[in-house]
Amino acid sequence: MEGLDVDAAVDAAVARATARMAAVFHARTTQLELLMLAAEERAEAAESRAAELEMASPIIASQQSASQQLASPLRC
Amino acid sequence: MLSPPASPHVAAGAASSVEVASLELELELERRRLRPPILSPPVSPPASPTTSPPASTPASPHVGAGAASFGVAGLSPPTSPHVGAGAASFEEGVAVLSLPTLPRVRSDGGAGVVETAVVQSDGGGGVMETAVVQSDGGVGGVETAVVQLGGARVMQTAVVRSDGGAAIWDTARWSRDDTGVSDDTGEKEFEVLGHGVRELNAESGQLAPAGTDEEENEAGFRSTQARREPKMMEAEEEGAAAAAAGAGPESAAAEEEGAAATRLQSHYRGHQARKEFVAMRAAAAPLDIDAALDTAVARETARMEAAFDVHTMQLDNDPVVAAAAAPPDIDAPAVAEAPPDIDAAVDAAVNAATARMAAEFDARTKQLELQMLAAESRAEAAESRTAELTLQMAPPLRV
Repeated sequence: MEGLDVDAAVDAAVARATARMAAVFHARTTQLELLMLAAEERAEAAESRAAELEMASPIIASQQSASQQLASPLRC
Repeated sequence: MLSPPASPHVAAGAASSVEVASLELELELERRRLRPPILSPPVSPPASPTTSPPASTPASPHVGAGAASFGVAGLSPPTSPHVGAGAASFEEGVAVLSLPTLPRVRSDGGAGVVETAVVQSDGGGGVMETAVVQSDGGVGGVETAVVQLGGARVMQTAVVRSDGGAAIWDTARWSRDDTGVSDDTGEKEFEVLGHGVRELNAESGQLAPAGTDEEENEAGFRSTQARREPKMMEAEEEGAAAAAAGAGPESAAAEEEGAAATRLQSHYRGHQARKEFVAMRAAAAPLDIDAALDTAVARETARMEAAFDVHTMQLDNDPVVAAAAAPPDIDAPAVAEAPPDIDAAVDAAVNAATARMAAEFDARTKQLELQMLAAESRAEAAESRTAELTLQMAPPLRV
């Protein structure tokens, strides 16, 4: 009867545990990375929209001023 | 347990008068001067007279001295056919001498233990000599080691005196004379109580075999007589001359001298008769050297076996030795040594690895979360700005 190879048993157990833990952490980091990418895309979209609005705001402001002058009520 | 001295000549030497022994030694020394030994005497460091040997030292310094002398002399193991069983005895003797646990000479409860070492040389006549160590455990016990180097044809005697009931080892010195004076220091380090001197044949250069008490006494007395005889003859002639002259009371001194001479002569005749008896016995039964050697070997082997038995018995009764020699308890180690906790080892290893990995992923997660929050904040800011601009650009309400 051969004696139990303790070193081999420990190595196998460690490999199993680390593999399982690596899988769990890999899933977690992947999820976080996706969330981070989504947040960044959202931020970029919002910034793009904000930049667009800022560029268009002076034109809109002048149009609004002209409209107000034209639509001013008659004074009796 | 005390055994008598193994070498009769030693005992005879001890029983001989100091004068006989002295003259005998002189003859021996004269022979040595005429024929110096080829081999140097063994160098044995003198032990302090007041220092008792440590209990852990190898057995019997005198026995060791015998072995050392043999080794110094460089004598090869006996090869002469006459040694026979002596060769085995020689080997055994050496093995015994090399054993540090050989029971040294000491007395236990007043009973001495005899240790014997057999030193054999094949030089010359293939003389078998024994080193007899004896302790009687009493006061004034004498231990004598007689080692003879046949190759060098040198008789050396080491007399070791045991002091007191403790059988304290005083010293072991090799000496070429009977004075007990060390050649190195000139101090008297031991007391010579006897000699085991054997005749050295000047023609053949061989040592005579071990003799009996009578032969030893005869050898010593013959040496003494060589000096006394001229004086005896002279005194006898003077006494006879005084008697023939019919001297009166004034010749009383001469008569006394004559009486002394007569006594000496009577003693001389008695010795001559004893000498004739020894010669007759020797002629009738010539010494069988082989048989004597075999007998000596058997005797010394028996002594060694007895010494070993004593030592073995001592070891058997020694609790420390018994504990050391006890067989290992096979069950005990199994109980004492717990089996390795594989689960604990696996858990520890997994925890260490997962903890390290968790730290790495946690840092990465925090980084991603911060980046995501930054992007969301940026998006909210942009959306807020967009809403504000949208409100600003909305047309005014009409009332």
